[in-house]
Amino acid sequence: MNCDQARKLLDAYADGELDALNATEVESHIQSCPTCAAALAELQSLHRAMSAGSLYYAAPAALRTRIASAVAAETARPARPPTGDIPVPVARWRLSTAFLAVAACALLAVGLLWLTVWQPSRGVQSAMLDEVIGAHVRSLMAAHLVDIHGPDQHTIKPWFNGKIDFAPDVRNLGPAGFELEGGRLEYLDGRSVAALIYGRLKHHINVFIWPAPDGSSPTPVGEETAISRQGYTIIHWVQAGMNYWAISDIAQPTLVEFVGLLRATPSVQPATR
Amino acid sequence: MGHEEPDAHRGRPDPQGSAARFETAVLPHLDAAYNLARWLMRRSHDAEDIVQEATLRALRSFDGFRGGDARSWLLTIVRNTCYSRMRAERGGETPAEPEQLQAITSTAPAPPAVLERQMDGESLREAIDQLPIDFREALVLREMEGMSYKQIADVTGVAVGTVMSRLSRARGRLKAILLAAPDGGGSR
Repeated sequence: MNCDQARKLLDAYADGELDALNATEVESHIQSCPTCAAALAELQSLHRAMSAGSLYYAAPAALRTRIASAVAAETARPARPPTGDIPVPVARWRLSTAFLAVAACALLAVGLLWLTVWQPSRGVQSAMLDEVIGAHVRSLMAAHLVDIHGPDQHTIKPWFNGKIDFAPDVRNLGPAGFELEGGRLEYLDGRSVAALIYGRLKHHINVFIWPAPDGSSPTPVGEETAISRQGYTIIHWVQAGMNYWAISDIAQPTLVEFVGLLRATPSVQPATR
Repeated sequence: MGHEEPDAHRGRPDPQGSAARFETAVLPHLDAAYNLARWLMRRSHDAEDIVQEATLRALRSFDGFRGGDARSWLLTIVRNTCYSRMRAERGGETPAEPEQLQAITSTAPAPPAVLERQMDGESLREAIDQLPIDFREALVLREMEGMSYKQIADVTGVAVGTVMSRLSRARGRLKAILLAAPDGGGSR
């Protein structure tokens, strides 16, 4: 690969969007080409400057309030056609009635397919996903994100003593760009669990931790289950006898990176017992 | 703690259930919506109007949202709302490119110290503001929202290859603007 070819692929390489083959070729070219290496360093430097967070405009609180009111007002009104070319409600209702029988049969078929084709554990998993999403969203909306503030993991880990019947691993990922914002108690799967909150730019990651049932096999690194639902990425794994559920609205590759770092970082050594 | 019933109202008109689902799926992406609107419109007042209008449009078409990437879906509506507003304001004109920069495509690496100094604070913000809108929106979605090329392609309605090309040219243009800016403006 020569400089011209490498230069054309450099942006995609820096953005992690190149396939493995091309990425490898770009990498080897860079190792022996100072010009392209410098160009890559520039791209990375620009990326750091733009993604640092100071350029990000968060929605003003007053705007959030206005929108919440507008949404409430809009849904309290009786249904009316939106501005545009969508048919009036009455015609729409008749249309739905006509399709109801067909839809019911289709749903039944899909339901049977869902039960037979998917793993039986998916049903349980789906309910768990809803709980995790609900807990995540409520933590963001009610201004109740943390009960104990970070970023010091030596404060957060002992805080859970006496509140839950297990000691979660608390890991600091600040240097990697995932700030430990704090801890919180949550209630999931019928029990009290630990929630650790990490921040990335203006986004939050909730990590829910609680003991896994006896006999649960640990998830090998890199084989965690990643699920996308309602715009959130949720990643689940079992490690050292604990269930882990990480959820965020950051881009899926970033959450995958976070999970990799979390699993690899050495845990806090308890100062005293 | 109650376990809320997910999607129990599918198929029946149920404004309260719809509102709850909308809040859960879409409202968490309000910051992303505002950030994009702010960078596209370049004025906070306009950005607030856009986000309000776009959120209501999203709510009204929420029945047609079949799940999946709610952030991309909302940002597509925000972007379209911005473009409609800009077309209406300018009577159909698209913003002209700064003539003096059209010929400059800075490809050779600059001395690191020079570029780094210009990437501080306001210089970078002003430089991004000067970019043509299609470059600016690609950069914002990539660098600030962390979206993949595919997601950016979905939101901006172009092919992935176009996204890649825009990002590459946007970065070259940004670098040219930064290097052309008067020195010493970067005190934080």
